[in-house]
Amino acid sequence: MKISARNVLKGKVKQVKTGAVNSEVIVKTANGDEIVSIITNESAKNLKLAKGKAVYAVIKASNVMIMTD
Amino acid sequence: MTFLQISDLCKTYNERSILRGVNLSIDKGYAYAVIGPTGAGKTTLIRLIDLLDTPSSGRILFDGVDVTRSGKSRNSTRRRMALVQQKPIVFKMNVFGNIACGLKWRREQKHAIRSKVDEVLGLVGMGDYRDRDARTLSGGEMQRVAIARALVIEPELLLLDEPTANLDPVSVSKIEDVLAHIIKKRKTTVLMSTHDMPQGQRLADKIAVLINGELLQVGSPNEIFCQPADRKVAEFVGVENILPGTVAGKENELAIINVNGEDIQAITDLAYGENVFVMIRPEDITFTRTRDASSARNVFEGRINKIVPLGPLTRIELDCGMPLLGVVTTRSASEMELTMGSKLFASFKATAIHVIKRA
Repeated sequence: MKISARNVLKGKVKQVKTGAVNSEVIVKTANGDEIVSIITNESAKNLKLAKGKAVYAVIKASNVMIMTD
Repeated sequence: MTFLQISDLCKTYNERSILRGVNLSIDKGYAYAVIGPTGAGKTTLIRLIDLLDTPSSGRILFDGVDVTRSGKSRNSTRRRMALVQQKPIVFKMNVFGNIACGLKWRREQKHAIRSKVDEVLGLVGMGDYRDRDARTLSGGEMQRVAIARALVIEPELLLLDEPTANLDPVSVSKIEDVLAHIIKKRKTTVLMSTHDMPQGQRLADKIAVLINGELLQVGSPNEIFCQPADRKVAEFVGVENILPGTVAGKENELAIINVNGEDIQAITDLAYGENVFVMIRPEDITFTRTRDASSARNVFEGRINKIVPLGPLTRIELDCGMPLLGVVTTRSASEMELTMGSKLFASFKATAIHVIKRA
């Protein structure tokens, strides 16, 4: 997959919570980190997202915020 | 609590309308930035608030008192605020004397003057410059002296007119640190004008967008940058993909918007048949070499017709039946071997699109 986004994290779907328009998808990476994504219900259906499905969470570098304690 | 209330403020010079019906409420203890291009009327607005000029019409209420025209209240009100101008003015004396002058005019005791000046010198990081002739300072240092001179009188309202214009990046950063400290720790009410949008975003609680004498939107930095209410505001805050279209389908809030024959899916509560502008920020577009299965509702194939490197980022302009401009890291552009004319897919999420009504 050749993509311009700098962060492509492999994981498995932990949960799909379906709302009126959007679905909240929780992806768990191999080291246990969880990433939450909001996508449309139609996209969740098209990608056949379900618990345990292997997926990639894609995040553009410009969308990553850094914080300190 | 509203500290400064500006109602329907207009200013005309030589039959030229500079400010047109400006309404703005400033709450105590918050920082506001008026952003807008050069010539928008920002300095005129600051001068009217600082009572250096009188409006052609409209009202200014300072702490509940109408100070628009009444001479008596104007003088006492002016003492409650301080103005830092774009071009700092320093007096022919040392740094200490420059900062102390406002306190001397207020007939403060000598020991109180010394202690207050030393405190603000520390605050602006100029403690070592106390005895220097102020005229020998650099532009950035002079501006920090001007900020210290304004702060030392402990103004209830601090006005800053383009405080970092024409300064080098290091000086800008130092002044922004000082201003951030004043805003967060001292809780001084601040109204600053700037044409530097990210500066407004970094420092202000609320941003007001002034374009061509009209205040077009007031809101949090997030509202201004992600949900501009107007095309002019969108253009000014850097939304470079502004596409005219029509809502051609609707299922709940997910709309299909026809743009130049292409369908874009977006979340909006605007109704079927409505003429709209679709706004997509360049940083929300991701590029791929192939059409991969993804959750993004919008994927368009096109050819690159412009590549503009901008240091760590590169702008990619794609022609896909409609023009689309995206920003990627220069490293990504290099790794993906992006070249002029090459085929590329642009994808963006339906939730990343901002849709407004088109008149």
